[in-house]
Amino acid sequence: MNPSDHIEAELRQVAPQLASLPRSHPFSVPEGYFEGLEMRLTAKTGTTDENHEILFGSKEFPFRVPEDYFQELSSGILSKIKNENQQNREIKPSISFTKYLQQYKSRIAAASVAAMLIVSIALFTKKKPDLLALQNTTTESADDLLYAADLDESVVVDLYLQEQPEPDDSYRNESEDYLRDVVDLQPEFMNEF
Amino acid sequence: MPIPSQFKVEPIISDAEILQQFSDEAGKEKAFTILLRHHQTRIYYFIRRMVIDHDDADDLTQEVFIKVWNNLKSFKGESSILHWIYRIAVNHTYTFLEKKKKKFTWTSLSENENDLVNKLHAGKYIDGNAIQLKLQEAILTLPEKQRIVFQLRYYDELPYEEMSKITGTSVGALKASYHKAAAKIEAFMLRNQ
Repeated sequence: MNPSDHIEAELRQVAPQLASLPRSHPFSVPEGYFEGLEMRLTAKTGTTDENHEILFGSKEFPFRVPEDYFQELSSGILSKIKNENQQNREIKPSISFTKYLQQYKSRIAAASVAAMLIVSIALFTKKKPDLLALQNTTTESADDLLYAADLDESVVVDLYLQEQPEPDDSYRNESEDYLRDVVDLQPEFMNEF
Repeated sequence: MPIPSQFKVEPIISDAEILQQFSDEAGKEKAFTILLRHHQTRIYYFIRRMVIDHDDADDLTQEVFIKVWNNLKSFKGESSILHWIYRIAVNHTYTFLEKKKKKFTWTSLSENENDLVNKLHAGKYIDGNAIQLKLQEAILTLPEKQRIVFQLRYYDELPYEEMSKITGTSVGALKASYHKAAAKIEAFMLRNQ
């Protein structure tokens, strides 16, 4: 039994109505197209009837193609490939450093702005302890503070703590309760296993 | 009818010979032309049956063979070249159909199916009697993967073992899928007589 017969038998078993559908030739193609194609293939390849059926499609379907479509398809594909290869060769050597920079212009600009911001913030934060001292002191002269290069850290800490609200310890009680509950639960939890 | 000289068919050569010719720069184009002329019809019609529209099938066929051109030198020979091309065509067509499906809203998932049915009835280069058109409509009701399985078995009459290499699916799963597809199609045809 050849493969087609086997497939036919299989189809008759699973879908007999589908298997019984007639297989006529519904397509319009250029005059002499299939005869020409058949002659070329049969003369040069020596295909058997079975291969012939598979190559041409024994199952009919209602699609057709423009006239001379397959004749032009191979040359169309080859010319597309050639064009792509040519474009790749033209593009690669012609990218200069200037063009390379232009491609990344916006990213370079963004990076420059970010760098300036970072430097500005760094400079600003360095000055901050001096400014804090300036705001909270009325008796000492501003000039002295501005030019005070080495400010005592403890002064800064004290000033900071003066401004902070009283710490809220209520959360600590809650967390302790939670922990207690977890600790209390554990023996029961463990006992289940 | 005399054969036009530009369409003379090259003699059939084995996959090994094609690969050998293709590896040599001087014979590369000739080997590729042989592949095109032997397989373009079959591959085109497989794609066409999946996407219905000739222009879409034309684009996809060319893209498939451009991929063949770009990747044939790294072909490992684990299957025949034809089945390797089939694999490219299946993946490429499936990707195309999935992308098209995503363009439709969730409320109209069937719009994708309707779009293809509309092309079946109103598109150019489509002929055939009512039964053939009805069969194509029935096939379009299948999910894409099942449609691929049905096409490869029903139209291209591929053995399950080869379909397994093409689709990356087990033989058992392919058989089940094909049998279900055939039953669904038959039921559709009987309902819509």
